[in-house]
Amino acid sequence: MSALRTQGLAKAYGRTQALAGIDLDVPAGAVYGLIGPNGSGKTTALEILAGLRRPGAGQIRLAMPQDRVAYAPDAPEFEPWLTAAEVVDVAAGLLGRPRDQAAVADILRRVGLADAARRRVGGFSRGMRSRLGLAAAMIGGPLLLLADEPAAALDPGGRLEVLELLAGLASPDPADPEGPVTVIVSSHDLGDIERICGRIAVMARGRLVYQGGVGELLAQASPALRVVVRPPAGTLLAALSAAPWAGSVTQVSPGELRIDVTDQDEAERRLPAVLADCGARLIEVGRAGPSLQDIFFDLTGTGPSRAPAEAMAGT
Amino acid sequence: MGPWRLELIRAWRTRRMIVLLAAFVIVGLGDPVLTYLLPRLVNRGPRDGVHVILPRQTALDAITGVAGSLAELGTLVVAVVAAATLVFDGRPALAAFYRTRLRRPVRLVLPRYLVLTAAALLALAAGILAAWYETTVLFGAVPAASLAAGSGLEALWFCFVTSLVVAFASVARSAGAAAGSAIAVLLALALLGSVTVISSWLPTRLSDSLPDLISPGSAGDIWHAVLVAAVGAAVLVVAAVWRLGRREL
Repeated sequence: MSALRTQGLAKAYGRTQALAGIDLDVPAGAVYGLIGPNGSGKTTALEILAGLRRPGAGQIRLAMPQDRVAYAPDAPEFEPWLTAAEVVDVAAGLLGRPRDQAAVADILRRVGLADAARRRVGGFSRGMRSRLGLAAAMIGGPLLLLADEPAAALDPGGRLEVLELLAGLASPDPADPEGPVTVIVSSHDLGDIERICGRIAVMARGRLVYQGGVGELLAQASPALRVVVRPPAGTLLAALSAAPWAGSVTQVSPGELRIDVTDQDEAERRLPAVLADCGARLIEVGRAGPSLQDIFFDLTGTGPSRAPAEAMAGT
Repeated sequence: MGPWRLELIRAWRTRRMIVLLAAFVIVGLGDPVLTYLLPRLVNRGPRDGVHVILPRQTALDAITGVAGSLAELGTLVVAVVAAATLVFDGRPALAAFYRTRLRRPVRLVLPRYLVLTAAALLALAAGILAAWYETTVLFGAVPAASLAAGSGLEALWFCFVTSLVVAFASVARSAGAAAGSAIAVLLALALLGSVTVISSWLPTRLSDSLPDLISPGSAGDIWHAVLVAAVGAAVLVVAAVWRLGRREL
């Protein structure tokens, strides 16, 4: 079941076509990633879905009322004379939700702002405001959460916390009769997207250039794994060569193996057992061949290998 | 916390309530004193043998001074404070916070407009009370009923001012632009007021109506302006709600 579907969603600012007819299909309960270079239309798409802009053309079908759609902008702003707890309280109150101080305290704790609950927002750093933006978005019991670059202003530890929080929102909770929250998150950081998103949409110049599973996208382009163990790797090489999910195994350098896999899912499941059975001392494991970043550059026509002018034109 | 409580907190914590109160009370206390001291101030210092003879200052003169200051300084302060409060889309991310929660524009506009207008009227009441007290002490009794009626007209004038500002705030994206546009229109109305044919119909007629009601027989044509100001204020607020509902972030 889809939480959100769009058909031919388009938007122009004067002569600039920000969105050129995109068809999104976001499954209910998914963490859905929206990625693309600057100016690709991600924020415009999110603002239209949040009801802040009207589409020039196209249709939006939401599986929930608009007041259950929450939006956390990339650089949220609040009244500087309110405290963090008051901001969250106001966010709930404006939606007409009953006052619940325990819920406010719980949300602030979840986003890591429990200690700053009584501080005025005017003195908050950008990272703290980002966390507060998520708290304000989460308080009203949203069924669809639109998060625009939610981790952009955070340090590595903070990024991980926020990403795990977003992923947790979409995890089914048997005690919740309304089911999991659907999360659409936009990000420039492909590592973030890969970490938490099951499905993604890649946008470039207002168009959708890919929509589907992250695994499927990676599988299309990188059916190979790279395993580095402490040499010698003879036993492991033999064991891997016999594995039904491995097409061919080659030793690139002492201890470094390249495995061309025939079944990506099976390879990800079985590889740890093979390593353990062989007593291999693992140093590193990862994909061989193009990464999600390479695929992204390919799809969007951007990337460092391009000439600067061409890359600029793409943004 | 609902929108009404939020607006009350805004009025207090941003010090806008204090600014309004201070401006009106200073006018209310200061103008009668200036009127009282005027003859002495005029003839103070070297005058090369010239002695200016002024008519004896009365309570009506004091109230006329207060009304003039309210029409100028009071209006300016209310317009600026109103613009700072009522520009809804000045900061897009903050506007997104409100607009994604208050889906109906009337819920966005009304609490902020009404609390701000109420704050302005409260400050006006404090200013007029101060003026009444000071004038009574310095010049003698002022007819309280006439003063109250005049205050009602002044209140309607300030409602019109805040309505004009909210209308411009629904178009402009900065407090400066909204305040500037509103003040420009108020100045244009004041200039139009010099055309006698329409002067009695203009809301600006209300801005200095306080002495007219105290001075018997000079307020006969005020009701045209009352009608225009009341209808105009309502139309401006409705226009602001309509415009904000249509405007994208």
